[in-house]
Amino acid sequence: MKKSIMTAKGLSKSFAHNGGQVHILSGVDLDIYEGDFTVIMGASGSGKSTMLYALSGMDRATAGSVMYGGKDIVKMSERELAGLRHSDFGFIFQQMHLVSNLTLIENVSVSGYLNKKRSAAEVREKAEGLLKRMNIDHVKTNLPSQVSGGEQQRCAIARAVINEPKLLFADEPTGALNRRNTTEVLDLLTDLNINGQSILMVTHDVRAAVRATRLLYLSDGSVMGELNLARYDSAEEKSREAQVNAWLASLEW
Amino acid sequence: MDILTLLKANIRRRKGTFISIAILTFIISMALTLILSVSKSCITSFNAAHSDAKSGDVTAMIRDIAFNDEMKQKLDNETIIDHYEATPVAVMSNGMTADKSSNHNSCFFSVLPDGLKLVNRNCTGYEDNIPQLSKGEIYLSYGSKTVLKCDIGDKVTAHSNSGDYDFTVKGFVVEPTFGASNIGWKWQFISQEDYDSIYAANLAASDDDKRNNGYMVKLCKADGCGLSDGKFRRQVNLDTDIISNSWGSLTKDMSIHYTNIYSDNVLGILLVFILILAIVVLIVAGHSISTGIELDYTNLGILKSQGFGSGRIRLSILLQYLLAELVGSIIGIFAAIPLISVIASVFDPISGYITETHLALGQTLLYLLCIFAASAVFIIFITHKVCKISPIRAISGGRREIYFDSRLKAPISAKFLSSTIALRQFTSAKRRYLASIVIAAILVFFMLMVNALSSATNSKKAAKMMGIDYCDLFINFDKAKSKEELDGILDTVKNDIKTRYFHGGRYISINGEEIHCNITLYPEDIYVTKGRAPIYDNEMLITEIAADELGLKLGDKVDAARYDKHEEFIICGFYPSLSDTGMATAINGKAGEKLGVKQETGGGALELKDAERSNAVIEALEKKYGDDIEVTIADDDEAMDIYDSAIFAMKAVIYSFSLFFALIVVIMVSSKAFTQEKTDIGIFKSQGFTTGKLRIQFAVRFLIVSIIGAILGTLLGRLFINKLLSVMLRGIGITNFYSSFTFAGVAVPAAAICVCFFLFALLASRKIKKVGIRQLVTE
Repeated sequence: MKKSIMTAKGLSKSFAHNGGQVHILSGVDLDIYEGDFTVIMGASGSGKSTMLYALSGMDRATAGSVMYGGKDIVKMSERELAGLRHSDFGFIFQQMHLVSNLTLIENVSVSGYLNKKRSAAEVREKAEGLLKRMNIDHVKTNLPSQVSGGEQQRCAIARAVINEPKLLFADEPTGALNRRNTTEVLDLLTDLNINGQSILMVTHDVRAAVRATRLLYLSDGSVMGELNLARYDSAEEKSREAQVNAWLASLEW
Repeated sequence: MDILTLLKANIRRRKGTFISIAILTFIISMALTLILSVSKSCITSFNAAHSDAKSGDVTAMIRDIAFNDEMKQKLDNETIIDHYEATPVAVMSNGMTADKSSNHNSCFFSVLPDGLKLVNRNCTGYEDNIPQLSKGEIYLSYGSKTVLKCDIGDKVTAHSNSGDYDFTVKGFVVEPTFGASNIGWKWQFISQEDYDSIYAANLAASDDDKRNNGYMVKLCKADGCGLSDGKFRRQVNLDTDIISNSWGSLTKDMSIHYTNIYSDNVLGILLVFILILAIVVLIVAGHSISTGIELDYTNLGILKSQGFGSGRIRLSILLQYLLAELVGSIIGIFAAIPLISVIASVFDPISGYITETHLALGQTLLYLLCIFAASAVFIIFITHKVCKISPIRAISGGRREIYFDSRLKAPISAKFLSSTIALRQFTSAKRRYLASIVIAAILVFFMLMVNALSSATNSKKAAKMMGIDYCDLFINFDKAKSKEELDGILDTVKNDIKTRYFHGGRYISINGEEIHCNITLYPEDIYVTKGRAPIYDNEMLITEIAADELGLKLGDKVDAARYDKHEEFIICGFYPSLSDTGMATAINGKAGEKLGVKQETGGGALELKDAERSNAVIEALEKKYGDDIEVTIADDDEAMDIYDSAIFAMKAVIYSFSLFFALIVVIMVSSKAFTQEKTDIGIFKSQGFTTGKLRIQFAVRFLIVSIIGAILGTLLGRLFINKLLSVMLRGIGITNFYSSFTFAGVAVPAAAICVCFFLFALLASRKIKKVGIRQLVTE
């Protein structure tokens, strides 16, 4: 029996536009389970990124609730949400979004310092370890503009996990990467998940989707389908890809 | 049309920048209009008063004994004189007293001549007619109202060698030659009956040596005389000896100089400040344009791809800023108009005339035109980077990184996370903050300058170096004392005395030029800046200003004349003096005797080694010399009061302008920085930074900027303020301005700027609250 770490009920998001309302999410009910590599797929404009941001508290839902740790994220104050971001959640953006005037090691460490669970020395040690694990320790004192996109994204992953988040959000983390870097980043995420990290990722790339243990399909602001998979094994990549493609075809992807 | 469309779009999109530049120019324009118009109003009003009073180009106060037929003949024969007019005057050698104040300088009493104007009761204009004076009534020159602190109906007493005379103040008239409160001599007006009786009494009290009656002689240049007032006076004196035989004289130029000395200097310093603020506006505009181009890189690339040339884009930017400056300037001129009369009237009690309002539109427009021209050149220079924008690169998002004009990596500390990140943000984009640093430095520099002005008179050392007799005690004797008697008196308290100021002022002519001369009984106590004190009776000290004016240097020989006596002196040194706004000399008592001045004194002043001992010294002197001596503590200096109030007004203007400029500059610079860093703010928020932390981080950066600016401004101030003020205050006789820069004097302006930059940036950072992490999403 899987343990739910986040439950969304009636999650809605709409925007005012030209005097009317545009509904992006329409009453989504959803559970995110501990240890899962959950992937949300959908066509462009289906609301998948909006849902990711609403679930992570990065953006406020118009209606509904997102229960996490017994509290409704939707009703949390800005200060509580800030606390959540540096203690329980990690976030990876499609465009990496590293702070451009901080070096890679500093980008990772600053998030660690915010958390205050560890001493500064411990944070630095952990950041060093993560960069090594991400295989970018040789460029750790470089600024983001001085490294490749793949290295930037690996740094962003290190930053996202420095505080050992209970849930890692990733918004199209491979969207801005080339094929080689995409594989490296997906391998890292898979590796994290195998080691127990819960991940919620948005993507429209089937190669990324096959890394999931659970796939959700979003269309017109609602979850239209779900597919559960076994843990990823690179040897089974082709068959998983075929399985996912077939599932997507059934949903008229 | 395309330019117009672009211009409208730019203004619409950058309303904040447009309004900020317009506000800054509004302040500059309003201040310029005020300064130039008040200055014009003062000069025009003075000239009108001079013209109404038919004052001469030179006015000499000559002893009756010297104004004989021979002198009149010489004046009649003088070709450079058109005509002269002599008004008989009775001299009140010992000045005047009123209930609240007194003037110890000589006053000259006559009946009211034609042409003088009577100030109305509210002191806002003039009466149409001047009522006749009855016995016991007096019209005082307007500046005496300030000096004697009296009003209509008050009693005043005039002290002559023949006795004391009481009068009731009937009103105040504008006597333009000596009327300013800062000119010692005063020409006052009484009824014919009173004049006749005082004249007779004075005549009876006169002897060959001491004359108590004389003439106020107005000398007017002949039409073809192209000489300046000073040279005219010198030439007339060389031909007729009239100045050498006078108690003193004043040219029209000198009269204007003394009369408007406060307004000229206060307005002069403010004008320099405002022109520097105009440079600040250019710096702010330059920064705004530069960052605007960076932010608009893509749009400008698109415009280029659509056929807009760099020239047209640059022209649209130029027009946008010039239009803002034009709007601000026009509003500024109109806003200043009602204030001109208010500001001008502030100087009336000092200058001794009612200032009529004159708008200096032509001069203001000329200044503004120069500012516009400088602005246009600067903008054309700044916008050259538009030429480097490649349409293809811009459209494909190939904009250069905003950061990294430096690789300097200030360390990030876990303990001071916000502050160290702020420091990193600053060091990563130093160029962006360069303008703010320069502006903070300029503002601190000016605030320090005005502090230096206000603190200069509070410091003994500073006052001495600038030529102010800084004293602790005033001493007055019932009867004049000889040098030997004075030595005996001062010997009683010799261990407490630091400096002895016992000197009498006389006007002598040096190489034919009339110069104030301090005949000092203790030349060794004079503060000498170069050379040495005049120990011998053929030595003379001179101020730098007088030496420059007369072309004299150390070791030069000069011919000094007083009345009919001529003596040769050697310039033995330079000294600072504020007497006659720096046109002064000093000789010792024996040298004075050679020019016919007795070595005696009616009083003087002392500077003590320890001011705390003042009461003990008073007690010791009064105990020994009883009723023969009056010793008072020197704590109420009229001249310093006026000086202090003028400085206070200037301080208020400079401080308030500086802080207001700081507000506008910080808001402009921070709003650009905010736009540039929106993404970073979103990233920090996504990592768990709260809005409060980010706002502090944002404001700390401006604190760092202002601290660097304040340090720079303080260093520049330390190096240049004394020199700059020495040049600027030369007009009032200060060639050696000195300010010691106390800790408070430096800390207050620096702290004010730093706190304001921090608070204003914190205020401007309210927008951070509105930045959503959602903006980081790339769909």
